[in-house]
Amino acid sequence: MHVKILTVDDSRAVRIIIKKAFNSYDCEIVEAANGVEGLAAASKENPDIILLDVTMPVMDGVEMLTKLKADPITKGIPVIMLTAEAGKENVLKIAKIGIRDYIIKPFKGEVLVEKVGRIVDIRPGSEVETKRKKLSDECEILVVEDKETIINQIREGLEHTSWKITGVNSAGEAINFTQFTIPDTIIISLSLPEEEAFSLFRMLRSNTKTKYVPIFGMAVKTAINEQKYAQQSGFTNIITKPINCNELETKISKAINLDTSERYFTLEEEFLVVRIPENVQNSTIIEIRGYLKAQISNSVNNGYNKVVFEVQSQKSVNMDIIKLMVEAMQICQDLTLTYLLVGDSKVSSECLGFEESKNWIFHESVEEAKNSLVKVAG
Amino acid sequence: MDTVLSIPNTEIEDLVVKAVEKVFSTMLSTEAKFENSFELDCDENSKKQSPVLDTTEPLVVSAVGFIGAINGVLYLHMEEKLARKLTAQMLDMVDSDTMDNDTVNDVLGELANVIAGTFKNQLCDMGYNCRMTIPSIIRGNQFSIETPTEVMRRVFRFTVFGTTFMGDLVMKSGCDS
Repeated sequence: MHVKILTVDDSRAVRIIIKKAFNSYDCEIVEAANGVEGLAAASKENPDIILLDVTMPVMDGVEMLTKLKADPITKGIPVIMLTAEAGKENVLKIAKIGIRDYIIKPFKGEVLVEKVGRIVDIRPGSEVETKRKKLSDECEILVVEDKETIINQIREGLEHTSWKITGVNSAGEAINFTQFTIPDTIIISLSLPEEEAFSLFRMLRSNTKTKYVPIFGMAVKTAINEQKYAQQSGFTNIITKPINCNELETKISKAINLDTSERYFTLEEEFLVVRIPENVQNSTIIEIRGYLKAQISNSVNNGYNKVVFEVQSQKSVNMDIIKLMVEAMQICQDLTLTYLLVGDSKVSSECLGFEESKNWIFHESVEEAKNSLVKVAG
Repeated sequence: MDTVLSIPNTEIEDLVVKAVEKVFSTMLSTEAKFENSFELDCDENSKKQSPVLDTTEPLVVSAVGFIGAINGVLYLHMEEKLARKLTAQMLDMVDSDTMDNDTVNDVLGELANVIAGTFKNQLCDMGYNCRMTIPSIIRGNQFSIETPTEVMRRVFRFTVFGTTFMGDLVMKSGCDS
């Protein structure tokens, strides 16, 4: 699992030291020099964890943390505070806002790696498979749950994927299963009797075969303490019941670093078609942005020089969608590609309200857009 | 004079030495050897002081302040050559001559920040709560730093890589005390 770490520190030296500490791990380090840059990077890059300095100019770590936790998009990102100030009062103040851990400077690189490793699964770069699984590849998901209804809910909710969902009812059965098959993700119900979920988690983590497999804890939404304990124990992520299967799918995709680009980018005839799904969420925009440059460049490399951007029906067109489109168009312009926009009348009229998009012309369907380009070429 | 504060000089010396030694061993994987310490008079008669570090070489001084129950500043005085060497050591860089001043300033600022933080944390544990300021850097040749009267000023001599550098601590009781 490729882990993205955002380090927010005004000292370039500290950022370099952090980068070096994770050099031999499968991690991507994103840097920001103060709280303002940090907030922007957190919402743009959607990191798996943030290492946050306390004392910084422009916006300090405490203010950034407060804003981060107030934003529904970024509030779930775990934060480790790095501080030269270890005063009890100071630590209590930041702990109240919600941090997962803190590190007092000076620190050794190994301590940092160890603390981050308790929260997210980091693994040495040498152990990482080079080939990413695609959306259409088969993935094995093991669900450890003593309630058959829940297993069935997950199975039905993920039916449209090519994932194989295996349900087992106890820790013993899960251990047996993992002796023959290494799942891509394991989901464990935290309400298994006698804290079985936590002993199973420890066993899986101590087994070299399952050491780096993402493990999700599953709990009722209101079981806050159970969820907190699972987070502290190092579960990769938490799924709450009632289960939102779309959210579960996104979390699993992210945890196994699944290449989901085929959801948004398809090659049709001589066109690359980029689809921005209906009522797109910010997390999806971030996901699409992550593929944008590589996918467009790759299509050019394969001889495609026409791009159709389809903005599917939206409740409302917001600035994040506009920014994504501007970025996409810029890439096309840099590569001298021909591109067209597709969107319904609502999308088209809402785009009139933004300075950046007021002159955009939309076609009503992908077919119509393709035909118009073919006609011009003809 | 013992000190303007109620903390004995021996205890202050112990806190500073431990902070410097800990930070050098953790962040630079090297030993900073404590040589001695002495008090600088800060009264009107001796206000015009000679530089803390007696050298004609270009100097880099990093400073971090703390305010609260005790107000003060911790300065680290060293020759630029040593500052570059420490920067290279901290960032695992081979050539200390080609690095830019910003990089050196950044590393020395962080070094002072962490040493002052470690020292200040000990003060907090003793009941003197204070907050720290953002680090700053002074560069030049043969300059002196003057302080107001009625402050405690103590200089600590250390050796690293066979070269001397100085910790220079200025403190007085703060408004929160």
